[in-house]
Amino acid sequence: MKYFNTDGWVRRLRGLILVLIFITVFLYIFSLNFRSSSKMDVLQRSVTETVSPPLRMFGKIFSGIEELSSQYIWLKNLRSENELLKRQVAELESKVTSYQEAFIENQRLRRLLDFKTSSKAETLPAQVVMHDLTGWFQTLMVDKGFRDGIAPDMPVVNDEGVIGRVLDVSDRHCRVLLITDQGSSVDAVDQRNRVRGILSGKDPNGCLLKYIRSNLDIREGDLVITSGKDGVYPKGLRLGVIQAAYKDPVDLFQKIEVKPFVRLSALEEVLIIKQSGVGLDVEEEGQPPIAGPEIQPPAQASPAAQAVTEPAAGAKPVAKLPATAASKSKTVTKPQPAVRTRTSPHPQTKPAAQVGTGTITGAKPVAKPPAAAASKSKTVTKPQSTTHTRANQFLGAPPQMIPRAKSQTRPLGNPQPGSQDQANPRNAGER
Amino acid sequence: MIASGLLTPSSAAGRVIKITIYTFFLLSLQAYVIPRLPYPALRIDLLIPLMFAVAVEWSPFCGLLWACLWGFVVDNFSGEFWGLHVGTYALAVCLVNLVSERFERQNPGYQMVLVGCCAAGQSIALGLFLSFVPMDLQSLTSIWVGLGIRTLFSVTLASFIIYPLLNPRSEF
Repeated sequence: MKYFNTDGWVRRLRGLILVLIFITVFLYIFSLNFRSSSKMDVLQRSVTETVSPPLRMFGKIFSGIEELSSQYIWLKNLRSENELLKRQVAELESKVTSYQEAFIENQRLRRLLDFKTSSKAETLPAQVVMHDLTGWFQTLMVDKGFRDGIAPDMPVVNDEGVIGRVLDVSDRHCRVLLITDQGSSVDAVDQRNRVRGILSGKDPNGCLLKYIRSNLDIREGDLVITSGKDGVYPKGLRLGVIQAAYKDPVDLFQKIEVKPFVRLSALEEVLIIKQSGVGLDVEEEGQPPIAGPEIQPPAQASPAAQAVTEPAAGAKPVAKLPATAASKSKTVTKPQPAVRTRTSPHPQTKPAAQVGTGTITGAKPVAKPPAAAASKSKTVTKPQSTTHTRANQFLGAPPQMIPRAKSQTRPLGNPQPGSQDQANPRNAGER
Repeated sequence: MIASGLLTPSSAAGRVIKITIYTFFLLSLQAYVIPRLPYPALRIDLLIPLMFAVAVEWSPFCGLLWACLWGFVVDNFSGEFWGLHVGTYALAVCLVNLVSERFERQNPGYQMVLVGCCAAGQSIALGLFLSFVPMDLQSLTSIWVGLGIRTLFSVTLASFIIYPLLNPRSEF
């Protein structure tokens, strides 16, 4: 007994066991870094489902306080803001009337063109429970889980564009990886000239469009949309707009900064597309295929061609994804300069067959317009409604087209003398 | 507020309740206030100072358990870099237990130094993790500067966060 102290042994053994337990727990937690996206395990799910509701309650209290302060404390500009809003309402009411006309016309033209109806993707509205706790990663938790049919890699969007994809799923919650996260990659395409790249997160406010060669024509203001090639996001969803493109003479690729359309830091509701992958294209048919430098439009395109292919500055070009009726009552589809890019990237210089390089089996041949109205009819015969309509169908919302610019609301047939088209100085210039 | 009044702890259960409520309060702030701060440098980890207080208050085993539990919760809601918070909080508890005999735990200076060490460790780990993604020098510099400021900010706020649990008027 002199040389064998039982208490000491027990104490050491207990300490050792505790250390081993701690190391095991830590290794388990650390190993979660290396697992693929899947359903959360029991421990994760129990923590998520237990802690989320009380945290959410606190969040509601916090939002209530915030709302109260914004409603009752910051009232100094209320009167002027009210008058401004009244004026805006009057303007918008008059616009709505004209847009209703455009909608009816759109319906009629759709029937004429006999568009195929695209497959309707099932979407699910979800509320954001919380953003990343640390503020350093770009993830958020929403209140839909596998009980609602959510699975990893489902795209998450809202009415402004792509938000991200589902990363992990719990019973009633799931984690969404935002497109601004550095670990996020989206196969993207410049809508104007179909140049493809990978959109990765840069910081909470921006993304980078990577692997675009320096000799390709990327311009500030170009719209970036999903290509649909990554098997996660449907084709044609709006990602962002190019904010800046830097070309380094010694670098193979350009550095392209993209500003996402969605204000990711202030998300409250999102829409989860319950089917991901191919076959959910939001974009219109007959679009030129996505390609690399081979189909880059000529740098010195005619002014008319530029006018056709360039999205209007400040406009939100592609399909503005409407929220479902459940999530938002105001389901307005925004117009697309994108529709304009349905025209060949080189409207005057290359025939459609060259652009397609023989690979567009499903593309409809573009009717060659009369020579006198070549540029005009190219724009005109590309129905603006296609993108909107299919996007609307895609998200199950009522088709509603509200063109944004006057030039987009013009009749899709041959313009009559004295019509809006002629009144538009820009179009007159094109002609 | 929590340290005085009805919840003044006179028993072990009272202490547990008090620390649990305070932990949850800080976690809620972490979830809804910190991510909304405009600058990344301001997004500190509020639970590190809490772990300091927990380590002082409880035994090493309970402290480690608490650190692992809440570290896992925070990791779970972050969804990336699993183990960062568990590791940091466990480090905080271990560090406080190691030096508790030499340091005066009520002294804000010591509290700030220890919390600063843990926050610096967390910031370095976070910086290395964020640096895995190739980026230009400017972005990299901005991340590290942000993390540096974050550490300093954590140090500054440490005593204020610890105070409700370890104030001298408290009964423990």
